[in-house]
Amino acid sequence: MIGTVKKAPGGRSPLLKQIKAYIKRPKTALERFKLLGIPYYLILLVLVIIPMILILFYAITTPNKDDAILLTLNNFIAFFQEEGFVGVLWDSIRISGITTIVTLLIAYPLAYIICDYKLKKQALIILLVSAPMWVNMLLRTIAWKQILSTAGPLNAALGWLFGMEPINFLGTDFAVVLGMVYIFLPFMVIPIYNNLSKIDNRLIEASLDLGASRKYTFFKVTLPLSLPGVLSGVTMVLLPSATTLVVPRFLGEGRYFLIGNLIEQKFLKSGLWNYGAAISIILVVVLFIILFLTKKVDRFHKDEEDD
Amino acid sequence: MKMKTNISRFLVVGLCVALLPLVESCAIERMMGCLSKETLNIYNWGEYMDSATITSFEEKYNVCVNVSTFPDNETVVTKMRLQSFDVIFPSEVAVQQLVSEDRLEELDWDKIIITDKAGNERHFDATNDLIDPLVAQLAKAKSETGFDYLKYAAPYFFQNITLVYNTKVISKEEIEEQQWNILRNPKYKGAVRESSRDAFMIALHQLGYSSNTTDLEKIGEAETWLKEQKKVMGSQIAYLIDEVIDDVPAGLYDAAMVFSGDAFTIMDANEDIDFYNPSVGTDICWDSMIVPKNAQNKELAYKFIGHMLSYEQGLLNTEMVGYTSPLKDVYNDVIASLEDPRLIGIYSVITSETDEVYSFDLATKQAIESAWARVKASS
Repeated sequence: MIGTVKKAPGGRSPLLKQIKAYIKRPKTALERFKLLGIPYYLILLVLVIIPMILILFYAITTPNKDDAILLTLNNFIAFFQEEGFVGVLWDSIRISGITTIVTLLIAYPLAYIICDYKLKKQALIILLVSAPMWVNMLLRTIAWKQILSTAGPLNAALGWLFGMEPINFLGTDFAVVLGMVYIFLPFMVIPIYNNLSKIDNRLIEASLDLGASRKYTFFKVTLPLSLPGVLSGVTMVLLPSATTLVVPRFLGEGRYFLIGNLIEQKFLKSGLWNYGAAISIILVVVLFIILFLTKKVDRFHKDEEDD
Repeated sequence: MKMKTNISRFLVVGLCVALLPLVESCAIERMMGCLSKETLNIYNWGEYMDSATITSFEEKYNVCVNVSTFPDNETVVTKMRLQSFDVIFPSEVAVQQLVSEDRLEELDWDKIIITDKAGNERHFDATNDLIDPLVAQLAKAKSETGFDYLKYAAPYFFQNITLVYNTKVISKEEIEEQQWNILRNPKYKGAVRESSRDAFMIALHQLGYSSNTTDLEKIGEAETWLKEQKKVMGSQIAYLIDEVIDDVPAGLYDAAMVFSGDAFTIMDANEDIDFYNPSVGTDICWDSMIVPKNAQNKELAYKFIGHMLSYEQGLLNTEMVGYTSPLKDVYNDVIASLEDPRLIGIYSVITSETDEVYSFDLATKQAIESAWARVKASS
């Protein structure tokens, strides 16, 4: 940017003066408006970009005995060579995939139904959906642990109703997915609801007027228009559920070892920061690919609109 | 638009409710008061001391004490680099590591003044004031490895790792026969400590090796033992940390490996539960009070250590936490006050020849950590 400054009269003024002149020059309205973004860029730089660069730096280096730093890809190779670690990655993606689908199946109809209420009631229901988020996540997860344990109320109820022997739900896919769906549900409901509530009702009325059935209208008008909400919901559930630590630890009886637990173990317990960073990068790449593929759905929908 | 104002009104009310504890006048008063007073920063395990001991120290010396807590020794070692504390309570393992990294202050025992049972203020006398099993272990460590713990650390609690089991489900004969293998028997639901070091300790002892072996082949055998355990046990095994303290008395597990101090709490809560120290061997450990080199207030740190080594505070702490006090007078009085033979047994921390104390070796520690990740990732 500095390079684009016109030379100050005389052409020999030092660089500092040029910079001062650049900062003090009269600004257009748009330029002044853009200045508002500076704090945001700073936060982005400090909290996102620099840490990402640090992680990448750790991932591709290895500390040497003489305190020298060597460039290497061994951290990545080690991950794929270690037996079971790719399985851990796959398990995490499988569980977070199931969680996302189940959450979507619950959240979409819920958001749809909420939109049919009067505005006051809508606000109340959305508040109720997000209310659990006010309680610490650890606390809620431990509460589920109590509910699902063999001595818990769920087993007591099953035993009382059907005379069943206590079942140990903890440490099963069911418990882990249930816990995650519970934790992440608001993140799916709210974006979908926001999107659905903004759809112009006249479009739906038009579709019905022109003879489309309610079902046809839903699939051809409402659903495509709500896809952006669905996609942001999917992003907000898929990413955190693939990396969560708390839910698998407490609802998995410690048997569930997902990628987040592996990264934590490498960083905090083993002190192998380089290795842990490499695993984080692998996870980021895999999730990025998945998100990229999901976004394709939306692009397809835009193409259709153009026709 | 109307809906929006409604939502924001709800949010504002909700936020206020959530922030209420922060604005508690008491907390503010304390914060303001502490600005003008000397402060002592303490770093301890969670739920590991009676808060009355802190209050009485604050009153006695007119100071403020900030307590932070940590979940494991690894966190201490990492966090100490980033933050300065005056007194830290790590295990003997971490003490060794920290000394090897030259991060601990040598304790000046002349500055540590205790108040004994009779109410006299005097210096601490390690050989007479500490319980015999601990004195024996300290002497053993000194003669075998040349490491003198008391040079850097003041003992806080003494414990070993033990097996607790439900006597309604498992007989004493069976556990004596199977030893740690009871946690590899799919007939029973078992809980292993979620800690690489402790899990490998039982595998190595059961295989007949020292838990301090540096032989990578033996560690590999232990890894196979643990992987088989995970496979054979299936859904019958759990890897837990502090949850066992509530879950074992609730009957969720038939057998579990725990610290003797936690075993005390567990057995106190459920009379069907008994303990067994496997004769193939287990580990003995103790937590200590240390002063790091980067401590800000070393004089006050010594006063605090003296306070915690005093009879009255020792009694308060052991009663609240349930761990065995290393202070002879406290120890004897607690044993005398107990009636249940199970509780007397667990509080005494009976050690045998096969038991060991962890000695720190960085390469071995890393090998075990990596192997543990593979065990956890195996199916």
